[in-house]
Amino acid sequence: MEEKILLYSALEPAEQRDVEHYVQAHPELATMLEDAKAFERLLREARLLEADQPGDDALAYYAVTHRLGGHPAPAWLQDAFDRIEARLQADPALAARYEHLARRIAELEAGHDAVEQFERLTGHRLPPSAPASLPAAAVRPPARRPLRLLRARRWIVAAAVALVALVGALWLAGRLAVPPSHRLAALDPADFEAGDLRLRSAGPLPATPSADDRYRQAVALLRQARTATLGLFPRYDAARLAEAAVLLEGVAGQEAEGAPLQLEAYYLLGKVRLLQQDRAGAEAALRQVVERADWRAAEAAALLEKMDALPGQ
Amino acid sequence: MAFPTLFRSLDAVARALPFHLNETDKVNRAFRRWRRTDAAQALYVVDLWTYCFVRRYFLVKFSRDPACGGAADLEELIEQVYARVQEHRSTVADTTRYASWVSVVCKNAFLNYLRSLTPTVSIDQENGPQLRAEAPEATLDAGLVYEGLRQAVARLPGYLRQIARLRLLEACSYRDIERITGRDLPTIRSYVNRAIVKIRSDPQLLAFLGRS
Repeated sequence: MEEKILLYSALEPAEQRDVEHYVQAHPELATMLEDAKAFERLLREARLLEADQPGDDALAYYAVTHRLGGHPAPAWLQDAFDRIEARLQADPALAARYEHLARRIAELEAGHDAVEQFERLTGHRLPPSAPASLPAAAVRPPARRPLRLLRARRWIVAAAVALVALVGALWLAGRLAVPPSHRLAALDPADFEAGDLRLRSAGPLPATPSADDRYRQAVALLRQARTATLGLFPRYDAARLAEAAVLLEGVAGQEAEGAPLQLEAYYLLGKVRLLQQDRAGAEAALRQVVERADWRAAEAAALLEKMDALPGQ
Repeated sequence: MAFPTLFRSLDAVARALPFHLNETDKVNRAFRRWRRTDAAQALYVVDLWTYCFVRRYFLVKFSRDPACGGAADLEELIEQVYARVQEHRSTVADTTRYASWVSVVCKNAFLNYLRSLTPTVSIDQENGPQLRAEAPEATLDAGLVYEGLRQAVARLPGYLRQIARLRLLEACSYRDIERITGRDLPTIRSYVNRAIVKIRSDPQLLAFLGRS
């Protein structure tokens, strides 16, 4: 019988009753049985989080602990919480019970400052922390899907950040790969508005092209000369640049000295020469504009100044 | 459709902890370090954990036991228990089981509190005997005990572990264990008996019972 008392936790309920009846008749064994029962109660307490039907202790424990402190729960505890969550999802009555407990906990906590109490009891000062992002209100139990969705969202955000970082890095690499003269000579739409001229897409040059015709053709070629993949790593087509340069020289030769279109052609030619990395040719064309002190003179002068700052080529 | 529950008050303190509240091996290590070296950082961690543990324990108990009072009782109990822990922890014999010791202090304090609430009933208006209502029961921290039993089962010899887990942790019937493991009933009972004998002397579980 003493061995049976020792193994009280292993007995079936009917066997346990037999032991209890025996001990009632043999009170000298009562202490041994009380010890065995204490152990039995301990085992029951240990099973609270494993129970198929979580009781109030397990639900309240879960309510307080499952999001506490911002640190992930140990795996064994998270497994228990996952089981509880599954039960809450499957059992509306259990979920209602959980809500009641969570509301009670929120009521108990409301209006009492745990930080102040901790600091007063211990003499320690807590570091300032960001406020909790969720209100201390008792609400319905969490759904399993949002938990997984939250994890998925974290991955999506991480992937988006990584993508932005990659694009940024590529953009920077592309920019660094572009020669300084190209950055200086970067063509923009303002470069193509020749005073009062209204530019239209250029068709093939007529048999006897005018200066306007040549200018429009050169601008069309320059628009086509620049390529960039997704805005990264810009490049200029050498053949189109060369053809545009010839046309612009023709414009400059056809027009009267100091005419706006001639100066415009010299200005664009200066940029084209820079894109061709012909620094001497660029300077010669731009000085034609600067010396007239007229149309595009300020822009040409500014460009020459920046060219002086470029590393020697 | 469903929303998480977050208790800002306890959470604000728990966030200062460098680990999860249920990682008791870490607080046990910090406690040992504090007792050995009196290191301020170790004491800070121990105090943080202790406060959070005590607060959580009583939040859980007060929420599920309708006999308990309101927030004022809760706050007073937390302060009393924390002060008691602070006063006596330098005398803890087994410094590797600080968390278990704190859990037992909480349980005993809660039991005393419940007893103080238990009404007495007189069966006679004059000089009648006072009958106390059924004795209340207090339990330990659910996560701590669960972890303790899991670890005790894990420390069993390999051939006992599965059956011990099924019977002692999952409360499976002998018939269910027979079906799951394919072993015969006498063997299963024999294994369960051996497991219990070993686990009853497990130091961690004895600490929960207030014994060494």
